[in-house]
Amino acid sequence: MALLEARDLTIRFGGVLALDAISFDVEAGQIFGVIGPNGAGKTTLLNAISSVCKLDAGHLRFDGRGVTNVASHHLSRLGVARTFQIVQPFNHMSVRENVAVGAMYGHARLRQRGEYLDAADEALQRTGLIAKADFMPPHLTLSDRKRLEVARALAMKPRLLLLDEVMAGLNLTEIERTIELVREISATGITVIVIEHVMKAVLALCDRAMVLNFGRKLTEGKPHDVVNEPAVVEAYLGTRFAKARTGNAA
Amino acid sequence: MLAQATVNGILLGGLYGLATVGFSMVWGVMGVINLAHTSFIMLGAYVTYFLFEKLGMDPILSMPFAMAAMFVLGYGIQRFILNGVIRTSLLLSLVVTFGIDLILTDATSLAFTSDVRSVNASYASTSIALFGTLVPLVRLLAAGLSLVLGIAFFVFLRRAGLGQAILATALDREMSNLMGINPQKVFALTAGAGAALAGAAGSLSSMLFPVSPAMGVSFLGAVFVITVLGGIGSVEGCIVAGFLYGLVQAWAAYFLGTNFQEIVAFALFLGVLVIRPQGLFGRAFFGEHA
Amino acid sequence: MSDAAILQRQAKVSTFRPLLWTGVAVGLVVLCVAPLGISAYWLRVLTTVLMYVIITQGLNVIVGITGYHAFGNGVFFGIGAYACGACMAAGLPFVVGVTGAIAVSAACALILGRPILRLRGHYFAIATVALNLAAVQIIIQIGGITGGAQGLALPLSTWEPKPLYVAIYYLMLAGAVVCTAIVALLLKLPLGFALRAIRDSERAAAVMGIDTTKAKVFAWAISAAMTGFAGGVWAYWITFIEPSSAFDPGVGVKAYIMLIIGGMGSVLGPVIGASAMEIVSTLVWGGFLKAHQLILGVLIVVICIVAPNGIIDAGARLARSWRSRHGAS
Repeated sequence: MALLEARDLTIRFGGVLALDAISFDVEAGQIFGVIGPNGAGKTTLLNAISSVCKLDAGHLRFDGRGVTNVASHHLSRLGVARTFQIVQPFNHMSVRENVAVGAMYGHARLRQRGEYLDAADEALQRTGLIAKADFMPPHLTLSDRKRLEVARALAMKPRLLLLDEVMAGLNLTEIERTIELVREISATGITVIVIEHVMKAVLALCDRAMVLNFGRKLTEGKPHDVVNEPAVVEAYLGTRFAKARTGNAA
Repeated sequence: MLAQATVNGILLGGLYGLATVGFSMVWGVMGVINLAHTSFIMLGAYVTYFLFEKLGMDPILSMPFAMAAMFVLGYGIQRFILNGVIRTSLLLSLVVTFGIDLILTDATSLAFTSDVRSVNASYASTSIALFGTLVPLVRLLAAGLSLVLGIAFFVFLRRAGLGQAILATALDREMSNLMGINPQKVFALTAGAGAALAGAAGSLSSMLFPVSPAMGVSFLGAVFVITVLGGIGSVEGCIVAGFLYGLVQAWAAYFLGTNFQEIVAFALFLGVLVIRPQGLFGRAFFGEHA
Repeated sequence: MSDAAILQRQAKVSTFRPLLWTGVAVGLVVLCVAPLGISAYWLRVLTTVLMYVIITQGLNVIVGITGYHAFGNGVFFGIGAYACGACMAAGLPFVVGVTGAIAVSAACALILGRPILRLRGHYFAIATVALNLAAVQIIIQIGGITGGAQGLALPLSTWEPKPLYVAIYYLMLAGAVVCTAIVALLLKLPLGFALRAIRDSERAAAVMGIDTTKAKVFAWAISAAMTGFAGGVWAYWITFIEPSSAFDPGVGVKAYIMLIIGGMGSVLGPVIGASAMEIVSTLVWGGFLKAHQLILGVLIVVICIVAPNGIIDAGARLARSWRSRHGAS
């Protein structure tokens, strides 16, 4: 039984079909990538999985439990954690307090002051932010704020971590560091779903990847295979490039 | 009797609609809830009253003067006080405008005493037969002129360059800025226009209601309900919602007694907020994104 | 700003703290012995100040900490007043009246909270104003034991006026201390973290496992309980209440301004704001009876322009710009 089972996920915004009957499984311990051109529906998919957006049709099962359209906070308590593409720190709380909220209310549910502060510090150590634990988020660089998002999610002690374009806006060194971090997280047994544009990260990290385009699932498989498929190249770069690269049209 | 109440209600609703347009636009364009709006109505009434008393000017003829005076006041307040405050926090504008309302109301009371005045035009007691009911001419004129001004403003917003600048700023402040529209100027002009329309409503009200420093308060409930019912920032919404409000109030008074008028209004207000916050014609204006 | 500078600045704040708490302790002692030496007029003023501390702390919970701007929170003041009044008019003792004030106000917030706290920003603010204004009409309609439009006279105490007013003063003082303590405690508990998270980013709070609806409604209930307590004691104090004064929107607005002056979300902010504003407006009223609304209005506008984040913040900014102009790093 897969940790996350998605069947026929469908979301409509007015007349636009943002997700069109998407189905896939994510096995425990995997790093699963979701890629696709802009507007393909990747973030909508993430919103659907974390219950931020309600499904118009389809089913979701987490760890064998039906979780279709449950409230966000319930899902979090079951062990799902996510980061936001446009970071959403709690600007009037210190870095440590931000992360402590995750320890208090996530899957971990630590309510003793000593416990949640310790858990917060542990997450800060893992993401390399421990030196800035008393800083306020507006004083952090973008790269640090992204790591704060990850630290907050880690403090929740999730079983499934959803990373929404966590490499966006980072330079090469920062990307390398984040790839390392995701590897370390996965090594502790946490299942990770990664939405990414940065191909280098997808190829380096993911065990499997799924490609979306216009709300539909194009294909799924090992990252190296998937990025060379004609249909995928065409989706990103157009028919001419697909022909030129792969020697045949999709 | 029901027909009489209905006609009265609709006519009054027209006036309420005009009284609300400025408030709704200001909220829609810059997200400012102007609690001093009702004192613009009150001051417009006073301008008309004094022109009537001192110069014998017909209330309807004095309307442009009331509008001009209120335009200057609204523009000035926005330019010199509110534009600075908005930059800090939108909700602070509630508090500042509360303070400005205190200032304007008390100043009027000090300058002109709280005596109740009235404006009795020569045709004040004339009535016209309409649909089998008797309608005071002044009410008909008030409603008619309100409708005309409302439609004129609507057309101005859609056709005139300045009007389109105002609408553009309401929809997307940043983009408008990038296209060369100065938001500060637009805010000040919108506030001025809003105050002018309130002044017009005040002018017309002086023919129907007693004029006193406290008269603004009686418009407060109506202004809030009509704004939310019609959709924040929507002129056509205000006009339609105004008539609807007047009608609902009249029927509530007729069927349930005058005590229930206010409660029905509030029930309507809270109901709209909870069920359909964007009202009849509303779109997501600036206030929503804040 | 460099890392070192940031940490240095935070260190300065922590040396300021013991001084602050000493000041608070001294202030409390002064307040405890005050009734022995002051005139009846000033006793009344101080009692009013303490009442506003309670109301403003109540507002602090829903506005300052949770970020939901309840401009019409004064509705709970009136509900508390009428709950106490109705209990006492039915023959129950004052203790029951006050308990009723707290309970009924909290219950109203719990019931109304679910639909109304779904609204955000401006919509929520004016919905609370509508509630405040609607309450007047509702009381008039209910009539009966509430006295409707005629108003409600509470049974007079058997005590002599002087000791009675001193007792009420101490009751308000106790209330102010307890409410301030509750706010301080709240900021340390997980619930306080949840509320601040909701204020800063409700979306993020929800995905991190916070039941935002439950938290918000509970916060409003605490806010309502505090405000209702103040209203209940006030009703007993002035012995006659009517809808327009009990539900006067000005009460909520004044508290809002006091919260702004003192600084939102802080423990002592409401204390400072309430004291400053109430004492100043009493002096203004005393000196300028005729134009006091006007002067109050001017004060409000000036404060909003000059110190929108509270006078402490304004003072800090002033100090910083003075220091930078005079060469300090």
